[in-house]
Amino acid sequence: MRVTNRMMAENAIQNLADNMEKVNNLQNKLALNKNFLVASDDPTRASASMSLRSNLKALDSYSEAADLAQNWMTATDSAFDRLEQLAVRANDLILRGLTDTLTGDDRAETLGAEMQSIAKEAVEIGNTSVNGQYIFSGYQVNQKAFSLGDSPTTLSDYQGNPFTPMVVNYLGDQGNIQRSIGPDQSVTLNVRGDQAVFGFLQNLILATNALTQNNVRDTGDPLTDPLTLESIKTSMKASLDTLDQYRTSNGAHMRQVDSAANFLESIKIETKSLLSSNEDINIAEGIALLSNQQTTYNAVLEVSQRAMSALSLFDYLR
Amino acid sequence: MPTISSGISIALQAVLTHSQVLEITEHNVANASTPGYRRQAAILTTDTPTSINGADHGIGAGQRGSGVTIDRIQRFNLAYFDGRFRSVSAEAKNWETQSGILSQLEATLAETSDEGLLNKLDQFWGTWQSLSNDPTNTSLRTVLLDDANTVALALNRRSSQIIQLRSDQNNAISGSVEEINSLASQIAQLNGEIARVNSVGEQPNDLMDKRDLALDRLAEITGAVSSEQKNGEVLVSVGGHALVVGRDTFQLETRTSTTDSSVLDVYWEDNQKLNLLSGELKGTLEVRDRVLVDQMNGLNTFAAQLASQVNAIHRTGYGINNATNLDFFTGTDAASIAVNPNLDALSIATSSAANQAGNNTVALQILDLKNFKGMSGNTATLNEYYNAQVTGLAVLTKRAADNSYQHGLVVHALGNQRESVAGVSLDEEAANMAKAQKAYQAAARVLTAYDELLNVVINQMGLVGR
Repeated sequence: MRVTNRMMAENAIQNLADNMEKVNNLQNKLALNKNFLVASDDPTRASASMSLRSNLKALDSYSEAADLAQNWMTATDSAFDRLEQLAVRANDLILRGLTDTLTGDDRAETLGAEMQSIAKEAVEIGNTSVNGQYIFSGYQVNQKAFSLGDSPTTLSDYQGNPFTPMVVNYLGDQGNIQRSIGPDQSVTLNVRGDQAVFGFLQNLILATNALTQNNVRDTGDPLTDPLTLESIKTSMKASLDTLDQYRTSNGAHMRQVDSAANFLESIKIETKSLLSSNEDINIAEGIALLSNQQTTYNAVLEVSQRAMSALSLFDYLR
Repeated sequence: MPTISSGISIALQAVLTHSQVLEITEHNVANASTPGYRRQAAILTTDTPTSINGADHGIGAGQRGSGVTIDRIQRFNLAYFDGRFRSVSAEAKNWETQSGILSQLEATLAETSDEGLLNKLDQFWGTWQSLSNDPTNTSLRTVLLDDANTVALALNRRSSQIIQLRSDQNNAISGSVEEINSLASQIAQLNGEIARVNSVGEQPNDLMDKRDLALDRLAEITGAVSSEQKNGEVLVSVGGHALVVGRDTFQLETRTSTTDSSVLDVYWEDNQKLNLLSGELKGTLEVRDRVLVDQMNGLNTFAAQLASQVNAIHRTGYGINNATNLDFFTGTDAASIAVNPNLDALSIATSSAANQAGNNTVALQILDLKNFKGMSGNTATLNEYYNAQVTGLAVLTKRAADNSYQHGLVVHALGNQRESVAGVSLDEEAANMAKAQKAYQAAARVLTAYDELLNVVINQMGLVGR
């Protein structure tokens, strides 16, 4: 092939430009620690990166949801714990009230008074809130679950004096709040106060009334018998079972959230490592490539310089 | 019969011829780096010989040579290379232009960075999730409105960027049309001059260089093809329509597109629409009318679906202030989508019934849209749809860049081939120069010999007996 001076010069320029571009690309990739700078550098990887990033974001949201659910459920569990402690004490008081050697005064002034304070405390616990949200109210999270008030009707105490018994109302609703803690995975967050706690609170009030009235033993009268301390002992037992049952179910939900959270964490780590292997440059390899490219570039510079400044025949003719 | 004067004439002719050969060499060297210059060479030939009748004069036989002359000045060019070179460079320019515009779009969309739309959409879903965890949280509601606004604005911005990019091409298009018209006039004018020079039997080498340069550029812009006529004129056509015929040209003009008043289309003066197969202008029009339109449609579908899917669920829900039947987004495409201006933080529907502050059913339903495959014939989620959209653009951009690079290599190789035939090699010119110089010197010595002969004849003959 006939080679002209212009061809040599233009080829040299082209080679320099090509090599310069490669060095520049490697430099940018290394500086940003990315295999691709824009999607068109590697559409497949870029697409994978975008969906992995999306997934990671979703996993973060799910993790956050799981954390919050754990807080709520832990608060529910500790409320149950405190309620059960109160229940033990209430049971104690009922058993002592059933001791025949006690007088009506003992029952009303000592046991009855303590039972009343237990009932008040239990209602307080029933109104536990997390982040300003009442956990036993169903959907009515802005509303206390229980209210404690005075009954419109009066009863007479062991001395025949009238007294106003307390009355407890459930102010929440029948909402079961769902939490999404994974794709297509949701868990019931709340325990409804009307199902789990309400019976216990009512029994505490009934026990208070029975102690105050000194109404101890069943007499065989089906109308008044349910209000005696003796039958309340039985129904208290039932409401304790209910408390226990809902506490267990809350515990099961907690374990579910726990394992979901652990799963989310491990998936997150996996996704992050996938993302990193997908888009982060292998630095050792990148630097090796760069220094190789620089060597090539130096060689091209050297060769170009010789080619372009080569002597021509004009230098030798005289 | 040989005479001294005919000998002098041969020597003089040789001196003049070789000095002209030197001049041609000089012309080559001077234009060694002139774009479009094809090297020239003098084709030397013997001058017409004279007949002599040897028998009559008794001094030998045959025709007597009458020296050297220049037959013509050859221009080194292969029309075949020109045609190949132009068709490949038109294709290379087509892809180069596409690659340029698409990279611009890709850079402004920046989908792989934090500025990407998907990032913002994920943020939007994430806030819905947070709100479903805590539906009574007013500040989360405000954050959600903010995130939704960011998504809507990102869509608006992308839409206006694509519109802007489309109308930006108007400048490139009218510039190209002006250049085509001016190149066409130039070629027509050169056609005239070349035909005139040809008709008197001379070689219009430098004019042809100029015309070829104009044809090269014209091919880059439009993929124009040319064919040379017997009289030396070229016929140029673009996409099947004549552009230059002899000394006449057909002009192109830009008109506002009938379908979109913000962009320009190109028409011939006889009202036919310009139809191109390759070249810069083809690349510009292709990206503007196909790729950008597809991107725009995809973006509009995305925005419309996002709005209608979210709205359909949102309307069934109740806000914390019991507001219901409200749209979350307004607008039907990427340009018009916005967060409903009548929607305040408290009205964002999270509950499936009135007066249930902790009810997050609707928030969960909207959150589920993230995984709802409602796009592309119920095969893709919104995220996947947009991901495919971005990847599609990336593939087109990469293809354009790859094609541009590869065709560029071919153009370079063909350019080298052409240069190999037509380019000036200084070494060669040096050798030619030396050759011409020696021939000139020799011819001059012959003249000196004749001078001495004349001296003998004039000054020394006839002096006998003086």
